[in-house]
Amino acid sequence: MEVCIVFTPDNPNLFTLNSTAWLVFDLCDGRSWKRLQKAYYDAVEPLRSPEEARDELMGVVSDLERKGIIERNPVVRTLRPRPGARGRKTGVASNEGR
Amino acid sequence: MREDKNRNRIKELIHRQGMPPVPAAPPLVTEVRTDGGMILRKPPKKRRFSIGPVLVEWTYGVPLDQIEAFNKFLEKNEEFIAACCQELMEGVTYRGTFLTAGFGDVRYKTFWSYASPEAMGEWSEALKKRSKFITIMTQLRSYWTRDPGRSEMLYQEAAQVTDLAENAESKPFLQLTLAASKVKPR
Repeated sequence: MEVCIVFTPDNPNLFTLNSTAWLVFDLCDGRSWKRLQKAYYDAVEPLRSPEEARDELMGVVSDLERKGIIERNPVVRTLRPRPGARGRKTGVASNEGR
Repeated sequence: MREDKNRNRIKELIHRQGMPPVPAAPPLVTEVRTDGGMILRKPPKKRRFSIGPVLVEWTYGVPLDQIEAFNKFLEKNEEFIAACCQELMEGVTYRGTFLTAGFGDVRYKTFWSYASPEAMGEWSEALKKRSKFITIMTQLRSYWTRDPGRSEMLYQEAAQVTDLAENAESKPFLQLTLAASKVKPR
């Protein structure tokens, strides 16, 4: 099978993910945007430039999020302590529970 | 571990497809079929009769115990090689690797076509940066290099060489050869 079929129970729908969208879906395991971007680029280089890969990724992550296939989770990052400051960043998409 | 295996299979799928498709997640339109039927495939795209004005042929043998592995390597990587040639270079086309189908030596022939002699220079730019393409090209070429009886031939379309004398103008040795063809050996 060369596609991934996804079901979204909250808003009952079926979607067909092609190979690259499937990879992005699979990579959305709670990792950081930077790691997601690198992993996606590694899979499509040299046929995509880093900029093309980034734009594509941004497009598909938004699309998958809009369709309810993945969701963005706020994550707490442990940053190197700086005097008087504590870090809290918003993480990237996760497909957990889908 | 299981996740990695699954992910690697998706990556392999992308790789086998050659040019990675733009990510897409369209809604699945389901249909109810009341009976079965043959799905007619579209005929392959019509090919122009000539492979190209310039053709390069690698000829090489592979030991019998490596044939299956090499064929699997081709099955996995040929679409990717072809897509990289088309995308990263101008006028360079991978035309496939063929295996003798009859009796005799087991030989492979890998064909490349070029839109012009200048297009052969496109490789120098494409091979500058490290990439998966270079890794795979190196592997493909390694099969060729391992055969002591390997050869590499360069062809041009014969119909483009209709005036031998004109063609020999800047090639003194060809001029000598043409003159020699008119001399009877003593």
